[in-house]
Amino acid sequence: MAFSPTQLNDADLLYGYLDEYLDGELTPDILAKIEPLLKTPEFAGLPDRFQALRGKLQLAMQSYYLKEEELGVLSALVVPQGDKQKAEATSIEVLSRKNTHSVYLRAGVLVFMVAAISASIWKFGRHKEQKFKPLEYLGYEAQAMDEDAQERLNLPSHDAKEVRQYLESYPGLEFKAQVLHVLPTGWQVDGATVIDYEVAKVAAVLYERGGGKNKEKFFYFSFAGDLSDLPSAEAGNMRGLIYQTYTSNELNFVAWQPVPGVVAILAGRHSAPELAEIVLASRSTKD
Amino acid sequence: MATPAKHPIDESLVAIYEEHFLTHADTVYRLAFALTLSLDGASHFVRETYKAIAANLAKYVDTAEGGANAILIETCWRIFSEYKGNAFSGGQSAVAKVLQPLATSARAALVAVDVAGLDGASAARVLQMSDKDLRVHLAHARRTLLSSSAQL
Repeated sequence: MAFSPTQLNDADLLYGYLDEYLDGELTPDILAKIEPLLKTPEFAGLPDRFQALRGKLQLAMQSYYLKEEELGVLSALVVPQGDKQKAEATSIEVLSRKNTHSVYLRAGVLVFMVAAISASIWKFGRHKEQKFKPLEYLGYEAQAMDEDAQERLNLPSHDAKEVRQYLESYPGLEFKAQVLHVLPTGWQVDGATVIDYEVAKVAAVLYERGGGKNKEKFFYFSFAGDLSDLPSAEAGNMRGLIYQTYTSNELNFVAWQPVPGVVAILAGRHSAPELAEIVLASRSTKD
Repeated sequence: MATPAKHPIDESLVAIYEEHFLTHADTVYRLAFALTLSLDGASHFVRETYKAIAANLAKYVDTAEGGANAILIETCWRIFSEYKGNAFSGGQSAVAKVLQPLATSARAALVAVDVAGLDGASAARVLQMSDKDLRVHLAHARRTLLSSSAQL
C-alpha cells in the first residue's frame, strides 16, 4: 500500500514535514492537517523554533570540514588513464630493447615506471605527512588485487624462488619480506610486488588456485612494524599462532607477527581460521 | 616498486569526480561525523565513500551532475551500515552531545534533509528507508533536538 503522510500520528506528521511547511511546499491535504495542529498550545511557535534550530545545526556543522591534505588524499584516488598508459608504454619499450628477464633489471625498470607515474599524478595531490594505516591501505590494495591482480604485480611469476629472490634483493626494504614456504595443495605463487606508501613499504605476494571463474586468491602482505600498531581486535590463538582478525566487505584479514619488527597480513575471501591454517602449515614446515 | 592502488580512468571521469563529487566532500564528512560522532570515524567513512565512488565512476556519468550529493550520501550510509569494524571513540563537541541520544538512522535522516538539503523522497531513497520511516526518524530527531538541554 502506498504511503500517505496522513497515516502518521499528529506529532510525527508535524515534525516530519516542518521543512516543507516552512518552504511552502506542503500538499493541501497535509497542510489541512498541520495548520490546526499549529494553533494548539502544544505546538504554538514550533516552525520558528525549528527554523532557528536548523540554522544553528547547519552553522555548527560547518565547523566540520576536510583539511587540504585530506582533500588531496581523496583527489589522488583517481588517476587519468592517459598518464598511466604513457608510463606503461615507457616501461614496455625499455623491456623490449634490452630483451632480458633479469629480476634486477625489472626492478630498475619498475623504479623508472614509478617515477613516471609519480610525476604524472603529482598535480592531483600528494599525501603530506601521511600516517601509514596498514589495514585501511592494504584492505584497499587487496581489493584492487582481487579485481585485477596482474595489474598490480611488478613481478608476475609462478616461481617461488624467483619471488623470494626478488623480495630479498629489493633495494631499500628495511625488513625481511615474508613469503609462505609451503602452500596447501593446489595453490601456487602468482607474483609479487613492493608497494611504496612513502611512509612505509609493503611487500605483497599473491597466491592463486584454480582458473577461470573458479580462480581463488589470497594475498600476503608484510611490512616493518608491530602487531600493536594495528587497531585492537580480539586475538586468536591457533596452535600457538597468535593472530588478530579483521574484515572488510569482501575480504578477511589475519594479522600476526612472524618475526620481531615485522607484521604480516594474510588477506582473502576465506574465513579467518582457514587463513590462519594456511599460515600455520607454512610455519610448521619452515620451523 | 608499486604505487598504492588507484583507479586509472578516463580524463572525463576524473573531471566528473573532481567537479561533482569532490565538491561535496564536506557534506559527506558531516554526515559521517553525525553517524560516528568521531573525527576519526568521519575521516574513515569519507575515504571509504570516495574509494567506492572512484571505483565506480563510470556508473555515475549520467547522474553525477545534480545528483552527486545524493549518490555520496547513499554510498556513505551504505558503507557505514555494512561496517563491521571497531567502533570509533566518540567526541565531546556540542554537536556530538546533541546528536548522541539519537539512533544512527535518525541522525542520517536529520543530516540528509536538514544539513545536506535533500528532499524527503530523495532522502528516503538514498537512506534505503520507506517514506514513512524517513518521516518518523526525522520527526524524532527534530523533536529530540528541540527539547534537548544541550546547546549547539
